[in-house]
Amino acid sequence: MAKTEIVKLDIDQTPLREIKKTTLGTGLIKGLGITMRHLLSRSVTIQYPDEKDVLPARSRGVIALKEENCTVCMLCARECPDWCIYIEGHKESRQPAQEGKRAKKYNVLDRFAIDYALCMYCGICVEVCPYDALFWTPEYEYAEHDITHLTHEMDRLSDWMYTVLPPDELDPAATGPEFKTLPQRTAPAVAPAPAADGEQPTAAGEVAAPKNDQGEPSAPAAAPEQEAKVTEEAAVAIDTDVATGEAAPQEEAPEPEKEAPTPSEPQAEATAVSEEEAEEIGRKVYEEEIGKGSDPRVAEGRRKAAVLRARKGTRGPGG
Amino acid sequence: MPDLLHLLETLLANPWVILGIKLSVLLILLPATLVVGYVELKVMAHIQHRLGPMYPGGFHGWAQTLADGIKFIQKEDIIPRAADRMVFAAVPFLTMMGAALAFVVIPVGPQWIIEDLEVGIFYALAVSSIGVIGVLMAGWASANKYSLVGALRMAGQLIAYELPLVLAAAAVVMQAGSMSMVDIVESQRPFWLFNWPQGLSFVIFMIAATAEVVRPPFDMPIAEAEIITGAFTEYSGMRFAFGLFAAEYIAFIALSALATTLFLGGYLPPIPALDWEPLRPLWFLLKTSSILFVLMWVRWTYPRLREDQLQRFAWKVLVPLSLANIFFVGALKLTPII
Repeated sequence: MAKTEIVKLDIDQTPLREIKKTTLGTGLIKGLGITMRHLLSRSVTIQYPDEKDVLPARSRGVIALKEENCTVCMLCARECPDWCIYIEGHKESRQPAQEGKRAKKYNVLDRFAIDYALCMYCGICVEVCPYDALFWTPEYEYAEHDITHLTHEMDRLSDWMYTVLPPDELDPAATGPEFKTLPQRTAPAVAPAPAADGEQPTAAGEVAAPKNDQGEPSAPAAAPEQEAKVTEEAAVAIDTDVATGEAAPQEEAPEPEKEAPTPSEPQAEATAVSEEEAEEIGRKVYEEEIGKGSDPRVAEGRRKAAVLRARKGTRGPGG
Repeated sequence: MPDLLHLLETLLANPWVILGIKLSVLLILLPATLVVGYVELKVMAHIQHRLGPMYPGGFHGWAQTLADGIKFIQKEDIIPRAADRMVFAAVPFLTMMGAALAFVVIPVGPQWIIEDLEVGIFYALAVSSIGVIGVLMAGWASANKYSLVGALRMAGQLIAYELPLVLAAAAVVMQAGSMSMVDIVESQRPFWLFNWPQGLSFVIFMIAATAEVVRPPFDMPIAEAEIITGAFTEYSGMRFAFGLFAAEYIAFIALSALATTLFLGGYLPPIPALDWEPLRPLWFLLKTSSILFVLMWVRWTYPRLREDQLQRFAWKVLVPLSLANIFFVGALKLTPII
């Protein structure tokens, strides 16, 4: 017979008796209060065909193909868990530049198709593409009455390219990608170079090396601090070099680290234009496209991409 | 202004005008179910942070329930081969009739009543229980196990909740000393907005009425997750619309109107100064709609009870409570308060 034990339950140090102490019916009243509050708050519905949500640049709507980047390496088709990518290509050879040299071989893409009836939008193909030929775009309106029409051939996949948005700017609060410090491999190489001159630089190099050894396996969160320390250390090393009249060696290890903590910079240099100017540019592009006799959808896509490019002042992956 | 009042009085004295009013009550009833159904859709949607119907009819989807009704009429009417055709087909008439007949005695104004029966409240409660016979018939005639389970649940629920409902109404009758609906309203004159001696009766009546019209949290007889649509599983098209939806909403409105009459002073305005004859139906409608709203609010707040919880609550809580309430009202009756 198991002996029943009364265990006093403590939830965040609050005795259970206090938690249970409620008057009969307060739960019912509280429930009514909650539903009333929700009744009076704003609805979140978006009336879809009439109004559309603005999707973020990284939305997984449809996959676009940048045809000229594709090398027919077949990695996407092989990695695709659903086998929904069709690639066909053939080899061609270019005349050798000089007589007697071997002809240059290259692949030509004949067919690239994605069957969206099979695709499960895992994005492995986009991830795996080594030449940035596949992109996600936020477009999602490509439903069809006939399932066979869901197989998008090269022309349609390329058209989607005009709806690819430039990637979002990095979060200014983010720490940025981590770069491992690799100086201990070069540090010994640095040390012997000025060794002929005297003891001091060698000592500096030796002092720097153990520090870096500690820095490398440290936890990711601590990494930026560690990096800063290493940079300081390196600066000291350079100073000592200068003091002894020796030029700092070219392969001075910590040099690239100085740039490492500022990965969000590249966007800033681009010049953004005003809203009206962007719209104007978009309109021009659209008219140009229509004048060329393009499909209105393609023209609309190019217009959108142009406006976005102009607005962000960046060159999107499409352009 | 006195001229207008005089004109109204002469009009209301004319039996043909009275007949017209009586007819219009019935003609109003069906559209009213559409309106209440629409409001319920909207209340439900907004409690869930949605918009609800927005397209039919243009403005905020006002024609949604109307369109639903038309859709139901167009739908195929299927009667299962094993079903008892006669009984199966008779069900919608019974369920709707039971609910609609209660309106005969509900006073929208002292003159605005189809028939001020001397046994008004007795009659209203009696006819509102006819519907369950329809539901039982539907359960048997459908030759379907879900239908039968639903029908029996319905019968069990009605037996359990009819008692507190009638006992709560009996307390009101004790206070008024009459079963006539107009007399009951007039007896509440000293209390105007809320008949406080009947506070407990009001709560019991509302709970029992919710169970009576099979609305959540007491909708076990049509619990879709367990027994599809209970007794109406085999019904389709117009029979389904009238037998279940229209009947439910008419009964819903009828019981709200009944509660207004019994506890909230019916057509009497909240303050004596506003007691003006032509405005009386307005007060009645206002009170009835607020009760309707509260019941919708309750519906979308609480989850469905279990069958045994429902029965236990009725027999172990509501019935003893309403008996105690009768004792309480009887004691008050000995004092000069009522």
